Amino acid sequence: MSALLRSEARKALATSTVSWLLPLTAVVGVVGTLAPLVASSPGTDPLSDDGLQQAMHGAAAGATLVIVAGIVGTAGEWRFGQSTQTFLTTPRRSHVLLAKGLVHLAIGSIYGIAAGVAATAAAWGWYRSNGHTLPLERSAVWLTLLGCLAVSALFGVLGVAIGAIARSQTTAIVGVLGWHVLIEPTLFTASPTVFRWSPGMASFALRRQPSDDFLTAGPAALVLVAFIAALCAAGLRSVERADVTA
Amino acid sequence: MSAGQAQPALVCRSLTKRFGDTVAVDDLSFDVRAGTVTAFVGANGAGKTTTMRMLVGLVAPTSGHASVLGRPYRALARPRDIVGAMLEGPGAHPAHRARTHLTITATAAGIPTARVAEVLELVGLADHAHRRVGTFSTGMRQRLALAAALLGDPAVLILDEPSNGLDPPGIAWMRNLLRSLAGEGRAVLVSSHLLPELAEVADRVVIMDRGRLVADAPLDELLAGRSRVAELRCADPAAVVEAISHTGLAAAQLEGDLVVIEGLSAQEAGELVSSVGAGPVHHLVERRGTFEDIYFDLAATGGGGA
Ligand SMILES: Nc1ncnc2c1ncn2[C@@H]1O[C@H](COP(=O)(O)OP(=O)(O)OP(=O)(O)O)[C@@H](O)[C@H]1O
Ligand SMILES: [Mg+2]
Repeated sequence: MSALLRSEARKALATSTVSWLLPLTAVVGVVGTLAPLVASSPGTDPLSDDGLQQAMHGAAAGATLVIVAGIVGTAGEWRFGQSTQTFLTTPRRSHVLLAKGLVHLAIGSIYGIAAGVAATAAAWGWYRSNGHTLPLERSAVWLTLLGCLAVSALFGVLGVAIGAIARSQTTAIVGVLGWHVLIEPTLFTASPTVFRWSPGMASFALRRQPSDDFLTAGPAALVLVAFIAALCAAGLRSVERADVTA
Repeated sequence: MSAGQAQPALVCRSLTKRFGDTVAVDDLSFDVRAGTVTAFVGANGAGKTTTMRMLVGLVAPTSGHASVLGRPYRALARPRDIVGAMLEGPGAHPAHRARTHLTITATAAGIPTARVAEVLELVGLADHAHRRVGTFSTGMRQRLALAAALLGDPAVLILDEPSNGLDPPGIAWMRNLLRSLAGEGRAVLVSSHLLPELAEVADRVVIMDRGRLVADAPLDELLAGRSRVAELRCADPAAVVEAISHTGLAAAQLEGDLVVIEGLSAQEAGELVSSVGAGPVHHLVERRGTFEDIYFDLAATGGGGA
């Protein structure tokens, strides 16, 4: 298993998409953090729990790109016939998926840390230039950052699962973006009590985006983990049954 | 080599594969033994690639089974050390360098990465090791695919059209390589459409037609059963074909202005031309039936699987 992990890690690092998505995730995290601060109405208190969470949850604004990296790492194998080579070496396909899941859990964590550090630095600068100090010791800050990191790490595994189900990079990426950016928010607006249980909304709750309609962080984490576990099972089944013909 | 003479290196038993309504492989059974080159031929769409993919566990048979040294491929602990397969291209990310691609494979397979340089040298890609696979020519891609197949120094080789895209020296090199691999006691199953090339190296021939087995025999045996063929050019080829159609002793056909007569010696053919007044003769040779003749008799009905 450790040989397979090393091989999969090497494969991911040699894929340029994975390397340029890292700075992009951090940049989106910075933008996601600064935007609510810059746009906040003059009356709001940036040092309230809500104000802090509103800013800091933006650190995970780029986490969707972690899903994209997971999709590229898994579904991408079917694009150039890499899957043939991979399964010739490791015919137990579940082992390959497990290794990919672990590698992308690590990649998601690294992206998450990079985005968190960049977003914190940006927020620190904004607070300072407005005559405040970013109170890192307050749970509204560090729990939010921790939630962002958890979301990013979990999204790495989610990307692998979705890539395994779709086995087509384009379908998977278009599907994820369509769902997460368009369909899910629309459904949530239509019926918050039902769709706060949906995975994307649970991820917003886990990264502590302030909203009375969201689940609390604990149940949100459970929902997200359960959803990802179910997709992993579906992805495993899909890959185990697939004929590798290219 | 761990492939003993006792059990076949590769076994297909009643292998059948359907893709929806298409029967790609239909009740196919044959063996491949150590120390031999088995040529695997058939029209486009006959089912060769599908069969090879079933042998290595990439495609699941609808029914029947395939095994390598007595075990299903998926049950092998270190498959790269036992089987080297080359299936339609190197299966490398175009942005990966040749060396990176092989290192990734070697790492997962538990093969020392020093072996990567060895196989790159062996296939003539040592000077291109640092180049991205996306920039490779067709022949270089084939060589890289072969390099991956050879990584684990396997006793069994499954090669799908390995000479595709190789230059003439490359084709000659491949011929020698196949010979020496079998000479070292390895089992080699090789598909190709280059029949004269295969005839040079094959010990045994497996011919498929529309998913079914139509021949599985030593090449010598198949050739021995062939009658001789006379080929000639003369002033009035149509008259020769016409005359032969009345004898019932031989079959003649026109390929352009070339008269191909199956079952006559050169002498008999020459005498026939002069007896029907179709001379003068411009060209006359006699040859034995070739692999190509066998192929056209047994597998030419495929026509792309139609
Ligand atoms: N993934 C697939 N889905 C549907 N049909 C397939 C698939 N792969 C192969 N086939 C069909 O199976 C049949 C056998 O194809 P295969 O590739 O095994 O032939 P082949 O003998 O290797 O041909 P060629 O000489 O052209 O390489 C063809 O009719 C092909 O269209
Ligand atoms: Mg083929």
